[in-house]
Amino acid sequence: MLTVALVGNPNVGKSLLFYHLTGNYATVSNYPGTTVEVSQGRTNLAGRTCLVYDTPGMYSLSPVSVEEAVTRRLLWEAKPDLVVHVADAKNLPRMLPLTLELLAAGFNVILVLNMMDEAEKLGVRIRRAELSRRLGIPVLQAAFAHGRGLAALRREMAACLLGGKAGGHVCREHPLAIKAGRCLKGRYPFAAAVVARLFLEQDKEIQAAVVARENKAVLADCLTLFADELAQQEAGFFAVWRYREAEKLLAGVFYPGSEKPGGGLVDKLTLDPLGGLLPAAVVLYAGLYLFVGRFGAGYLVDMIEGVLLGEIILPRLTNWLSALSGWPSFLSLLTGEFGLLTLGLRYAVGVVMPIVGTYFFFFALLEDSGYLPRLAYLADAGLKKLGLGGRAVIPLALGFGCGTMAVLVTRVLESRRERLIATFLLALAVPCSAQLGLIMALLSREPFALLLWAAAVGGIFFLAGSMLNLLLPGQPAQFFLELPPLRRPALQAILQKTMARMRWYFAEVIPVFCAVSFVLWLLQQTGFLAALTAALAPLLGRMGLPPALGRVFLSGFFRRDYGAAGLFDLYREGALSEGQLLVAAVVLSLFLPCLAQLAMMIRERGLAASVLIACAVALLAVAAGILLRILLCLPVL
Amino acid sequence: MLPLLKKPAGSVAVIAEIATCDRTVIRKMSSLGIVPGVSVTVLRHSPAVLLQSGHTKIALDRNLAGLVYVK
Repeated sequence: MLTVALVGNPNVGKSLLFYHLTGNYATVSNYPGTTVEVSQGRTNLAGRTCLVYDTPGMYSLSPVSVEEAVTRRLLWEAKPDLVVHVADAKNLPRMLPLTLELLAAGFNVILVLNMMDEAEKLGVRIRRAELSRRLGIPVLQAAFAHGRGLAALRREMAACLLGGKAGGHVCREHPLAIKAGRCLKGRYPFAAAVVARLFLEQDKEIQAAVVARENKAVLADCLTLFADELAQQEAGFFAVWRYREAEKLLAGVFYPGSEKPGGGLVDKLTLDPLGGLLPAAVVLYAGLYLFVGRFGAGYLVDMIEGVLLGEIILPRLTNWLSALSGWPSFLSLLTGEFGLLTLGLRYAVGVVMPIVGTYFFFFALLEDSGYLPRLAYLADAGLKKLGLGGRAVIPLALGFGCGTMAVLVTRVLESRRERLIATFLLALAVPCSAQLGLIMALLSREPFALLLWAAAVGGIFFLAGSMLNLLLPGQPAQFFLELPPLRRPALQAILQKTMARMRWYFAEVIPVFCAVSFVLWLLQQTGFLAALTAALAPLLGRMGLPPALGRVFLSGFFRRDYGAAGLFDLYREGALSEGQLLVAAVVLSLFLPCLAQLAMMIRERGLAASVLIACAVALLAVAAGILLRILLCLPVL
Repeated sequence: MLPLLKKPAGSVAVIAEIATCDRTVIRKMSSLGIVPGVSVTVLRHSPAVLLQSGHTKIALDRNLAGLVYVK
């Protein structure tokens, strides 16, 4: 089958193009690195089915990040028949060096100048035909967000795939690399000059591939000569050379238009440490409190769980099932206290879906508007104290939606150390949206209690982060990030992204909810639940909490939101005082991550680190509960 | 040649050198277009350094920005 790879910097519209080509939506966003996994899809070009890869963002063939390494490995191993280099038109001088590298490596390349609408607004002009002639490859202008240029690109892709390599282009590689490439005799997926250059740049993966293919003596003689020559040059010698070449190619072809150095009111408001507080506060208040908290956790939960499921569907279903079946324990499995329908499905669909759904919508809005990188810029100084860089805003903010997804997204962080700290903080002190929504609903009647809760959880967040930063060995985080312009997000893209995340969430959450209901039902039927709850009672007593909460904490381990939902029920039954509710809310927020998050932690951080984190979190949660009980002068139960 | 950090906000400078032997730092910088010969405008110094290069804004923390020398 013919293969096509979509390649380019982060945030240039690869995923959007992928969606248009394959009808299969991958996450498109303004944040570098969200397409962490390579998506594959099929499309039809000139009557033939082609395999399309949507690759993680890449700046050059010399990888710095995991994403870049993945993309290069894909180019090296899959050797696609066609590479579509998607570039941000207004920043072409910064994009073209990658085009040159791809050409030098020997790929069949189409260059797409995307986001032409933005570029035109800034007065950027590009003589497309002349650039195409100079490069010797097809160059197209497009604005995928508005569907512009898609049909032409499909035609060009078909022509390139059928017609073979477009001839005539010169390989743009430095003479030193070309000479070094003559030392290589083996067969490589990239042109020898590029392989030799990457070898000289001490790229470990390429060095291993070269050593495996070449005669060692020749290699040592030949390449060391060039290595010595390179050692005379400055660091970044080849990259600088590519920039110069790109500049030469663009002379008389690319007109940058009016460069508006920032400083407008919007920038003042989103980038100034003081001015930036206002929009950040508005976004958090309107987005998290009003939209997710009040609308999602309040209104929607009342409508779906309270009215639709609670008053209309479930009572009828229960009646109908009890009329049908005469076997009471089977009936209790479905509709009892821990029934698959009355507990599992009710929580999943009635409580969690509206809250998580509204959060994902809010987050997609933040991502697509380009505001998140600005938030990262503002938060960098604060996060540095926790050993994290500004980039960590992304997984942490997503953690307020779903901790499991957030642990996956910690991949955008640079170092192992940062990923470990972020994972720990996500496990300990970042409540997910379902928890947050329920806790806000529970505590909002007592604004002071809500404030205390936020202070306790927030305080522990900063304390734990600072301690980890002090204790963990390794380098402090580095922060560097491109800040894209603020954009008006397209509703359709946001809805699609929200739906994609909801699908992911549900594929994972419904089975877990049903499994938890089943396990709880089994534990109850066999009497183990009572025994376990009793075993937890002394510990809970020290925190001033009644034994009934044991069940909440047990189920909370299976899913944190599930535990919070149990707390919600207990409170409605009047089994908790205000003070107890506060302690329970804090402990539950801090308590062990849910089963799904633990599984993701093990996958991403390894078993040993995850077990260590889980134990530390459990200890800290209990300690915080006891301390809070003492501070609130609650009696030991 | 002087450190980028010494340039006041609003001034234009041409990158002269990235003073480090760390290849990863050099690659990160060049991925963002911070390469000798490129002209940038310094927009802000706090909370982190903010540069404009072409039509892009680039944020660098002070440690990274401290490695950049300009003409």
